[in-house]
Amino acid sequence: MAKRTFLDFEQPIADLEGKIEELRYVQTESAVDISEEIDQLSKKSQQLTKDIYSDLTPWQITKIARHAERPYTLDYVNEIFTDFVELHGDRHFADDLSIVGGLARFNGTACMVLGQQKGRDTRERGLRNFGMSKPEGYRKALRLMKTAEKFKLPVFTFVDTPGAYPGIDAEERGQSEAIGRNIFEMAQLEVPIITTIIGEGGSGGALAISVGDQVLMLQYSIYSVISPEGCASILWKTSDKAQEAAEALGITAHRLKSLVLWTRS
Amino acid sequence: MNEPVGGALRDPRQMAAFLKRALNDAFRQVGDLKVKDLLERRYERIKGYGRFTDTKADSK
Repeated sequence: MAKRTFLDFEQPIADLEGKIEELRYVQTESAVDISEEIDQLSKKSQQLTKDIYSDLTPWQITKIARHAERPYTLDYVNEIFTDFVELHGDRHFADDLSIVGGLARFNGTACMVLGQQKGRDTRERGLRNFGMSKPEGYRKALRLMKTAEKFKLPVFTFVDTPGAYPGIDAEERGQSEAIGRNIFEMAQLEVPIITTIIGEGGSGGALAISVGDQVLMLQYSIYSVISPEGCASILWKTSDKAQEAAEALGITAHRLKSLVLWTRS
Repeated sequence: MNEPVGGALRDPRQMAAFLKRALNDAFRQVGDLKVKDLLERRYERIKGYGRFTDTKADSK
């Protein structure tokens, strides 16, 4: 089994899992049968995970939503869709790798899928710009959605971005225009759009591909106008208060349901 | 939408299965709508965003 990365509030689970691992190691060497003990500890570990996860703060959920091992758009595309053919480029400037998309089949029905993709390792993260898209990324998304409209294909989008890329080059090429146009076009796109927030739904970066007929949100995902750190540094001039900001922003699926921002569970 | 115990990353397979079912349900609800109804529905949904309470300006 690959080594798991534990978050700070998961420390008790990490300790227990470590102990189990140790026992397994000992067992292979010794004649005494301790498999029963291992089983018991495994059960205890599962129960502990359940307990910890039944009572999470918004800040802890934020950390899960950003977890480096969390499945990304392409993981879901590979598991859920078939015959995926990736399409590239916005036909204007460049191919933004932070958004992936293309034709695929969902239960045999031809459709268009697209979503933000963060990177797994350092190299890929750089390549995909940590899932922060530039205008060409949103324009690529729009191009794909327009193609879908032309061929009457439903659109599935997956949102997982810290936010739109705030660099100079992005602004030079009209970042807010690209996002605004996407929202405008999506509101009148003549095919069904089904959106899922799978991790971080950061502000405009998320909105540009999430005007849908159905909006789904995973249990441990977040959707907000600004990251908790960003909010804290603006309001309190320090990002140390991100925890409080997360609390106040109401960014979790549970809170947002009460505000009817997403459609179904 | 629920995730497996310990979050999606502990069991991506299971998560994908959950998501597939949910997407299927979601798609069934909107897949057969006429374009006009679909856009109408989307418009109403977006219009429904946000809630506020109106306080009268009469009391100080």
